[in-house]
Amino acid sequence: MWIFYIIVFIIGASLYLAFLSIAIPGSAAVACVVYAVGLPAAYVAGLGTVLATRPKALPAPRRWPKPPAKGDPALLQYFYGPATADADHAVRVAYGNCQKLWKTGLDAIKASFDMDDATWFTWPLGLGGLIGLAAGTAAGALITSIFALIHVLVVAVSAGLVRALGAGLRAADSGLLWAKNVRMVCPYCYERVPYPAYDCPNPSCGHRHRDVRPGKYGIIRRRCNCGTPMNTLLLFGSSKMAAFCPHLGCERSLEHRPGEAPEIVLPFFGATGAGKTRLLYSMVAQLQAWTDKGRIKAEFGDSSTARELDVAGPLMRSGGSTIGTSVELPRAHVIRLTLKKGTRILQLYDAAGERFYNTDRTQELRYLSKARTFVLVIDPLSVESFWLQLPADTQEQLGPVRSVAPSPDLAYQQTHQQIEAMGVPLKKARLAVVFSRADLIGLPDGDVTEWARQELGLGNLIRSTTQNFKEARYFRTAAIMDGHGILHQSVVELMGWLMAREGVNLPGGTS
Amino acid sequence: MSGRIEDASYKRSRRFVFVATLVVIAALLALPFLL
Repeated sequence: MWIFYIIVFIIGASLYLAFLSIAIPGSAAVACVVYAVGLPAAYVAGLGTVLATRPKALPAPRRWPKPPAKGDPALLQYFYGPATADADHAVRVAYGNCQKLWKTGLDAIKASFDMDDATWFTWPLGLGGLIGLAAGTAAGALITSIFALIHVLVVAVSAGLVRALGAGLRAADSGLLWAKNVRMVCPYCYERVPYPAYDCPNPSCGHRHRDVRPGKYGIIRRRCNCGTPMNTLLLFGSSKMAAFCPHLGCERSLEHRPGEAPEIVLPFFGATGAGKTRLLYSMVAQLQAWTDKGRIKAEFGDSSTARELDVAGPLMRSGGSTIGTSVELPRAHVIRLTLKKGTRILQLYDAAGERFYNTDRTQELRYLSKARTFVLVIDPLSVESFWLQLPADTQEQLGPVRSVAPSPDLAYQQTHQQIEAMGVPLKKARLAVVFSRADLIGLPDGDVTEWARQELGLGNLIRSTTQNFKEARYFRTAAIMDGHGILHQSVVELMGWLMAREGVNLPGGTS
Repeated sequence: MSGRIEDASYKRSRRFVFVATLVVIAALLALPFLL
């Protein structure tokens, strides 16, 4: 009988050993495959949860990039911080998934050693599972690390490309502005505007963005904190938004849509009562007359200019006088000229004559440093020697309109020194010397410079202007309009000369 | 509110990163079969 038991034991032990030899490696292999594949799969699932599906139950990321303290009120571009935060978030979510997977496996292994009557059957499976879990985790961790590395590389390469694209677009936009000769100047603070600041186009928002160009807030478009998209470049139409001077302390509205067209800064200078404002008004009236005839399109660039210069036409037609210019720092009169060959933004600066008699006041006119063409206006009646030559009845008649300011030389020398001190390359600059009131003193034939030398005794001034500037031209103008609304040809000739060098051919203008 | 705006704003970029990562992983896994 005992032989029977021995045989049964041997058979049973053999069968159990056979079972062990299959169950332990088998369950180990299965567990190894499950964890070697499961861990990378859990990582990919975490990645998908963070980057694609983003369910409501998704936990908040542990760290998120903070926008710069003094930065614009806009969302950071994805590859300027949020992408790396997402990578960190994905790793954490994936790690959570992996932990769940481990816990499930470990619970099953633990249970396999505590199955009462079935433990003899389950413990080998648990043991194999434990070995497989360890091996599979090692393999899975390696594969998961490679996946994570790929993710990080994709983010890094994308971030590099996005930054390169941003720098390229910025350079292209600057290059285009340079090629189009667009250099923006604030009509209020006279500072060069590298790029206008813009307000968010959402009427209920109004956040101001100081620098919308491609960068950390967006490449082609940025998104305001309110969610409204904004174009980042003039190339993409940012000029359609409300523009502002970006300089702290100024920040005033630039209604003339800067950046779209080259700007021409044209300062008028000369003694008090020389006729600067009247000349400016007559030029504006002429531009309006051409606009009415459809020969060009001239429109006021902003509401202040419209308010101040809307009267120019009627005033010139009525023959009325202009009022004295305030001694406050002038704001540019902005006129948008649309011509067949493009658009120009004309900035006309008309400062009070008092500003050209002393250094401190002239120094404040920093717009002079932005100009390359200047207009010096001289009232011939203010020249004492010329005045004294006039007959008594003429003096009596012209006395009320005569400028009693100091000699025109003083205003010229003062301004010339300041222009030079401001670093303007005078050998590249042009000067129009305009003798006003030709309607009152007549327009004698012959060379204007000779007349100025002989009749006015301004030889020194003529010599100085000719030597100092690349080009100086002398004009006698009569800022008057006839009964048919036609402005005196002398002003048209002056305008033609001023504009021709800026690439603008005005109707009836000469070069 | 801000989170929702961010989610909407980053949706395309996130999907791009996810798909690009999957494509590279798939290419890497397929490499032994292609060589």
